Amino acid sequence: MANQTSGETIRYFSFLGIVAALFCVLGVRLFELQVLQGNEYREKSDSNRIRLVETTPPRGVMRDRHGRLLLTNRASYSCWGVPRELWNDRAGLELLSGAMRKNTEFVRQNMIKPFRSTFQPMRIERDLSFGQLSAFEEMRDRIPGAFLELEQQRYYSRSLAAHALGYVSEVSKDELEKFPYARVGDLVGKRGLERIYDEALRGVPGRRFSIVNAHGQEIADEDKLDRIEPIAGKELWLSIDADVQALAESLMTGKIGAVVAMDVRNGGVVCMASAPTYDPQVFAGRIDSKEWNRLLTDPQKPMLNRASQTMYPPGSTIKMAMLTEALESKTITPAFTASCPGHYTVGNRTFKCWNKKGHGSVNVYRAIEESCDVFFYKVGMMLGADGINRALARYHFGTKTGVDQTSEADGLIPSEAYYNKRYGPSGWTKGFIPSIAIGQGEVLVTPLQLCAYACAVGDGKVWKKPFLVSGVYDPQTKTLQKREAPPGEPLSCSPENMAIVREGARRVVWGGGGTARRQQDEDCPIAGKTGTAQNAHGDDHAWFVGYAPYDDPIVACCVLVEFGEHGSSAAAPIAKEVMRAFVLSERGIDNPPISANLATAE
Amino acid sequence: MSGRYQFPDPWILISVLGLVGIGLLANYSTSFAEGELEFTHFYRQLLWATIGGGLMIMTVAIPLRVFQSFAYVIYIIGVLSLIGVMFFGHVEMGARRWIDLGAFRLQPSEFAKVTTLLGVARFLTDFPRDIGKAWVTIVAVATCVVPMGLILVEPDLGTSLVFPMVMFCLLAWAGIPFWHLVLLLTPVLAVLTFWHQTLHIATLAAIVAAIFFSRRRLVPLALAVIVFLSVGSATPHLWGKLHPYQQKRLLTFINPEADPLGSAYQLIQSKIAIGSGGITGKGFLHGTQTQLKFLPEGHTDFIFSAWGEEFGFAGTLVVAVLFFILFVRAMRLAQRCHNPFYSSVAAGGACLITAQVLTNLLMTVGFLPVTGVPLPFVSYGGSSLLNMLTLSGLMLSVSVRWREY
Repeated sequence: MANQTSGETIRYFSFLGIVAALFCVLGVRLFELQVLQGNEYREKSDSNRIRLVETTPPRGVMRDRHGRLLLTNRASYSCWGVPRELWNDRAGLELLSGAMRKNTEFVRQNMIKPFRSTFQPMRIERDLSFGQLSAFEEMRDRIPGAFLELEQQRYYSRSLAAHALGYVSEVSKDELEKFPYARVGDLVGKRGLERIYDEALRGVPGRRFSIVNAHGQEIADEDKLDRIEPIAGKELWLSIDADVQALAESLMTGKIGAVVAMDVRNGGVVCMASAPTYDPQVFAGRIDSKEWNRLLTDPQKPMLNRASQTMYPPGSTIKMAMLTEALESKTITPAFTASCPGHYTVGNRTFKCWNKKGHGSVNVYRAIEESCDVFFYKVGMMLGADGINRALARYHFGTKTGVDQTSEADGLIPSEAYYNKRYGPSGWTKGFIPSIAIGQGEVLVTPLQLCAYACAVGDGKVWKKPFLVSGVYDPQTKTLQKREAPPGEPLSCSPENMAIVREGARRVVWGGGGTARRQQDEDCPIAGKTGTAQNAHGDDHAWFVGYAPYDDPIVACCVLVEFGEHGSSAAAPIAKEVMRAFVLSERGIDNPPISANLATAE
Repeated sequence: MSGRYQFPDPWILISVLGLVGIGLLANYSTSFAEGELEFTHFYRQLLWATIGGGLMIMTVAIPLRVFQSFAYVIYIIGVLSLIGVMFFGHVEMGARRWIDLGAFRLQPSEFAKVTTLLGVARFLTDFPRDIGKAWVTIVAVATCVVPMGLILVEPDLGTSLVFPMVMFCLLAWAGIPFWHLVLLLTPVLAVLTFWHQTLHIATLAAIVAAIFFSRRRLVPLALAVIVFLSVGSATPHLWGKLHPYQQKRLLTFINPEADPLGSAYQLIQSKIAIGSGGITGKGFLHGTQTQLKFLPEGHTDFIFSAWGEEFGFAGTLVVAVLFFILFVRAMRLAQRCHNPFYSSVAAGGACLITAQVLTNLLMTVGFLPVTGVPLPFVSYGGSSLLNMLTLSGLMLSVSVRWREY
């Protein structure tokens, strides 16, 4: 290459020049660090150590539709330790474990050991009790590897809507895959809204470096430049009305079941109560393992959200859907009547009407009003299995509503294939149809699905998707990100046919023979449908679905009382009270008096 | 040896031996700090240095022509070993980088640096008349990208970043046209500057000017602009489409060491260690940061900080000067030797070592992000030391045989 002189020489000197320049940069930097700032760094290194502290932001709060706090935070102390220092300081670790009332060997082997080579502090104990706090303060000089940090813990101002809000607890190692942004020991949402909106709620942790002396006391903050402020978690603004929720929960006290109410205008969930409930405060700090075990083993399953996670046969509440489909598919005309002698026979099976004396001649309005079973046995046979499935699918039964809740149940629309699978190759017979047509047997729904159904009948045009979060508010930037109500899906029913169904529902309360005629209330005129679901395990389950006011509904409600026997007496009064509270509150009348009606129903 | 052969270059020899010696001293100190009564680190490093010394002598003894003839074979063996690691590698801290040989582990990515260097050097000197044609540049780039990609998926960002740097130096040294070099830099610059609009536009202008003044016509000019704009506009778009946690996951996937909390802490401790060394240092085995173990990774990536604390500015200057001498001598050698392959090996070797040195040293003083590149000859680690000493053997071999054609 020696003969290509000029090009090669340029290259040679370019290489030398660039590298020499970089070495000069290095040399100047070393001169700056070691000669100019040497004394400064010498001081830092002499007696002090640098500690990295992760600062956890407060978790976002949750508010109801009027801005009232449902869930907030309270300050508490956590104890942190530098694993590398604690691993090498047996005496200090012993004192620390003593103060925390923990077993030294457990802390050493199970908590510290896996991280023994790291300098990044880890949480030793969360939410210290007063005893732990004072024991630590007494000995902190002798435990230089540990320190206290002020952190926020969940605080349930009113202990409402425990199931819907969900809870947080420490993320386990196996769950880290699901929470890629979390680190071992972080609190993450495990259920309900806490789980679904975990990432928005948690905020972004910050960090700072502090200088501590040999006794572990903080002297100063290291470089402000290296400090990263935490970003507070975002607030959830819910469609829930705290007063309505509180009323629903108080009405369900001592019962088993669920109450769901939706705002008919947009599908927002106004209340979602599941009974029996539990005190979410249990999860807020350190979980008491006794209380935890009690909750898990309680035969009444208080942790279960009966509103969206449990499936029941819907009973007669489903009849409005059957009538809609029968009219819409022109299987029957509005003038159709059926005669009810009190029973109905298919093949060799006889199905009874709840009214053993029979209803006589029943038209479409009376069929709903008096909940005539024979009418729907006959209509069901005319619709056939496919027609019944269409009727259920029209109101989105059999699929998740898509509400922002965890582990929502699907419900079940039994197809012929389902019966063949369950009862053998030729399991399906027409004999199943009458039961399904009146919501007994294999068809299963959740209270939330029934509420969305009542909401759709009340609206008359659109099935609306229920949701809880109507806005996400960022306290940092003071901006509200409104969540538009989900579009829902049109019922595609003619207004005339819907008017018939709605008139039937009105007569359930306001007609002479209506099954819920005791719920007449001029302040809040409701319409709806009662239901009683046969239960293999005991007394029947009581249902009521409805909406109010019936001429221009703003609220829909579904009440389930397990073992309540009759929808008309056990469920309808509760639904009426809940809807009344919401309607009056929306009209600006606060604190509606609990009517005497309820007392008689109880 | 007849008169054609010379004694190995004494400057290179002195630099290498001096740096290995400094590495041993520093490892003795960090061994001491770890409270190892048997000085495991130190003795292991001593063992590797001895074996590496033997390898270096062997490399000098073998005629360089042998390496030239087998350069492609050596390159393929290097790539195969990287593929082997993907299947049989030992996983540690989420990265599959090592092949377990019982008593010790080898890191094929270290050896791939030298095998790739030999392969590319051979290719660039096999077609002297075609240098300047696009296909030569493209094939040379591809030859580098294959091992680099294999290392990137291990994942080992630090090691894989060394490859494009060495590739760029080799291409520049081989004398490919200036606009090829600019075009190679274009996508890198586009990605690096996308976050700052003015800088982004200024960079584009500089690229256009550079190509224009190297008297090139429309095609390369248009090519550079298209590449720059498309890469530059795609980067924030693609990046912005990711969730913050996906971005973080991607970052930690590419670079597991890039834990922002951890590396900021390392950096502060590193600066305190180096700075507190002052002019003359705290004395051997008396560095408080090192000895109190506040300095993480003190024997591997941050060994320079431990050295700087105990030996001060005087000590760090010695290290920097030794590395600079090594670079200058190797480049001088590359410039004067007759055989173009020998020249490429010497220049590539000098750049390979210096790229790692600067990446590591500028990281320990806080000028570059923490990427996990070891300091050649000094950091603890058998694979790195063996590889670096073999490479030194190659450069010394060039100094013995520089008159060969």
